[in-house]
This record gives sequence, C-alpha cells and structure tokens, in this order.
Amino acid sequence: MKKDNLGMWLFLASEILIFGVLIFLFQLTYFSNIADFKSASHDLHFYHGTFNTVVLLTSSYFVALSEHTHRRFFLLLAIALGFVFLGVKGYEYYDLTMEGKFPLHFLPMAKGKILFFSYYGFMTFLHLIHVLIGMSFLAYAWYEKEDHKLQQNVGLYWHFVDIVWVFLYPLFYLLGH
Amino acid sequence: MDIQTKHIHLNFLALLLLLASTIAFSFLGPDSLKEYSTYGFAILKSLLILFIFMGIGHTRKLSLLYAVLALITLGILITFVLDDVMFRA
Repeated sequence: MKKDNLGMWLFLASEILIFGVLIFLFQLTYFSNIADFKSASHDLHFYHGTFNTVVLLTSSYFVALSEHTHRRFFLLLAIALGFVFLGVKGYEYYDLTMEGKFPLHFLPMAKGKILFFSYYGFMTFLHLIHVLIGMSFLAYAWYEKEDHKLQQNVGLYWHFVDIVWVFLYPLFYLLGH
Repeated sequence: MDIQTKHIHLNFLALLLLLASTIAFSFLGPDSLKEYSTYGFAILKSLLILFIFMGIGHTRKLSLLYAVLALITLGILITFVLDDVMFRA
C-alpha cells in the first residue's frame, strides 16, 4: 500500500462498512424468511445477473491492464462495459417493474418476498450509483492522461465496485437455485 | 510481456473459472453447503481482485497461496459434482 493511495483506501474502508452492514442485515432477514427469499430469488433473471458479473470482471481486467501498461485505450473499453452493465440493469429493472414486483410491489406478495425485493432494489441501486460515479472517474482519468496517481486511485475504486458486485450476485441471483 | 501483465491475464481467467464454479456449485452442490460455498467463492474472487488487480500482494509466496486455494476449491467442486452425478445415476 502506497502513501499516495492511503486516502482512497480509507474511503474504501468506509464504503465496506456501508455494504458490509447491508449484507449483514440481509443475512439476518434471510434466516427468518428462508423460503420466501429463495422463491423471490428464483423470480430474478439469473442470466442478466451472470452476464453483468462477466461484464464487470472484464472491465476490471481492462482497468488493471490500463494501470499496468499505461495505455488509456483500455479505460475507454472499461467505460463502454460500464454502459453495458447499466443497460442490462436498466432492462432488468424495467422487466421487474412490468411484472409488478419492483419497486412498488403492485402484486400481492408474501412479506418475505417484499423484504427481498426491497433489499434487492436498495442494494443494487446503491451499487448502480457507485458504477456511475466510477465511470465518471474513469472518464476523468482518461482525460488526465499524465496523472498516473489519479489512474491508480480510480482503478482501486473501480475494482472495489467490482468486489461489491461479486458479493451481491450470489446474494440475490444464486440464492434460489 | 512482463510477469505482472501475465499475472493479470491469468487472474482474469481464474476469476471466470471461479464464476463458472460458483454457478455450477449453486446448481449441483449439496443443499447444506450451497450458501457457504457461494460466499466462499465470492471471498476467493475478492481476494484475487484485491491481490492481483489492486496489486497489494504481488509476491510469489502469495501467488502460490492463491494457486493452492484455487486448487482446493476446484477439488471440492469436482468432488461434489461427481458425487451429485453418481447419486443421481
């Protein structure tokens, strides 16, 4: 860990606290609504979640390559993949809304299912905002071509966003299988 | 291509392999272990991202540790998948 990145690491630690608490609360609620949570997870679109996981892992790979090879072209690829992630997520939200499950629960549902979709909505939307912020940072790092410290810090942030998704994916999409 | 770039390429492949293992385990693994295994895989993937992509532990000893961890995970996965296939047969 370098001195230049200390501020970013402290910031990431605070972010870990936020997502850590949410994941912990999700687990607590899950243990008292196991059947409903599994059934609700089965209602989610597994292929969308899996595709988005591959997209984020690939974008992280490009960011790591960009940091190491100092080729900014990889940053553009990572931003493009960020847009793909947003597109798939938007389509998934639209689909769930049309099915009446999210975000206002139009259909009558078991209490456990409502809780699951509330967690799903809040946590994935919070992650989505982080992806958007990360994409803006990546674009700024691409613009500031000589600032390697900035690129390193932006890279750390983007990898963190990736790690959060790595935990959200099994939590929501694999629970019901 | 230097050694660090090679590590980044290999790490990406390892992450995809772990993702495939996570999915396979959650569909085929024994019910009692499914949840723990998916979290286990998520932790393993995070470690790979943290150590290789974020570059905080780029040493040979740690690389060896990841390789051992990945092999153990793969071994457990193969055992459970085989067990499941044989049980169904």
